[in-house]
Amino acid sequence: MHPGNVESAEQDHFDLLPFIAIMLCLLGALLLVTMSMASISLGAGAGEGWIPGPEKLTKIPILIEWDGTDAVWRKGGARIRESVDADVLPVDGVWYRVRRGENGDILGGVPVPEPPRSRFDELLAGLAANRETSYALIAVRPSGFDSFSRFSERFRGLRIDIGYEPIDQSKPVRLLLPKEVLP
Amino acid sequence: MSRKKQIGFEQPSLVPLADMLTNTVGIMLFILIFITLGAGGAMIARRLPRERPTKAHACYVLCVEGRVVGFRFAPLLEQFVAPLGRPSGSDLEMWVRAFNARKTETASLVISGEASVDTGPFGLVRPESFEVTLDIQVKPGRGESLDTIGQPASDYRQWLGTLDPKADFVFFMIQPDSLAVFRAARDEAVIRGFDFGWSPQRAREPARFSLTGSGREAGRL
Repeated sequence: MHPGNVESAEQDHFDLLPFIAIMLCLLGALLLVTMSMASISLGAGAGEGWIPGPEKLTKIPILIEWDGTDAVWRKGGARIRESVDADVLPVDGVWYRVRRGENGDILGGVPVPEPPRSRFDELLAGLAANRETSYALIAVRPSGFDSFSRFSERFRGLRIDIGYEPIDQSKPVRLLLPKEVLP
Repeated sequence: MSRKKQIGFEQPSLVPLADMLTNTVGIMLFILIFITLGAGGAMIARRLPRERPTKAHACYVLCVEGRVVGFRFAPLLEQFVAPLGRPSGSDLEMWVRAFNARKTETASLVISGEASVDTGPFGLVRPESFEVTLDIQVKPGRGESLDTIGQPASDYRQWLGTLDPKADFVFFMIQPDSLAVFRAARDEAVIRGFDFGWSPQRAREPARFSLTGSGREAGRL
């Protein structure tokens, strides 16, 4: 038994050291958890805020995320995710499906019927109609590297200005626009 | 005091200590919750320019396996095709065979090529089908890593020092495993006043430069 808990004529005090040790251990553990959570949130887990520039902002960017299969953008506060087949694209008004070789290289295209109009097509049409005031800022995930040139061709084909930047696969991203250009 | 003397030792109450401990733990938990909630929305701000045409000369940086290697294209091409001479209609097939068989190296890069030409009726070569690409890949373990790229003696920094920010721009060719080193390399270039561009590359494949299509280096032959 601990001497502090024993009634004794010589020792009439209560030893607080074990209690304080437990408290310090607990505080240390909580500090460790707090610091870990903070470092994860501020480091690898932090999102990215993209600021158009550094030149003067003459066009308003529309942020579009591309991961190789889905395009993600925001409209009226809502987040829209839609599957886009980058291998099907129009050339001079005719739709083609990309034909690939065994090693994945593009060999050419096969004409296909025009696919049904999607929300992504509406986004493109809106950007094309406002090409003097808007442009597409594309966040390219690593899984979308392979198909990005064909994806971006959908924009370039409509003479929509683009900017693009790679971003880690699961890192959140949003636009940081000056207040005066916010819709 | 008299009572203490009677029994020799009085058991102190642990309630204030337990109270203090509970308060401290509670405060720490609140701090943890606030930090987690506050840091959850943390954003790293980046300034991103819009794509625009340039008349500056492209100088390439391959970002592969977490390493970067910079090079000028023209000297590599010159080194590669010098022994072959320029392709001409009369010996196009022979030139294509020699081009495909050739392989050169620098300290950090391996250069190979792929050329093709079709033959029409009567075995005649169809010059319009002539296609040439130059493949450039980084040797394993070569190039600057994220740890060394910012050091004053790094090869990448020295290579940037040989370029002219007014006449050249830096074009990064990035594989999916090299985003962090690309950002570090780009920061170094931007600090020195260079414009930049980038294109995504397929993983574990050489950078391919078309010399006959519509690419940036087309028409060099």
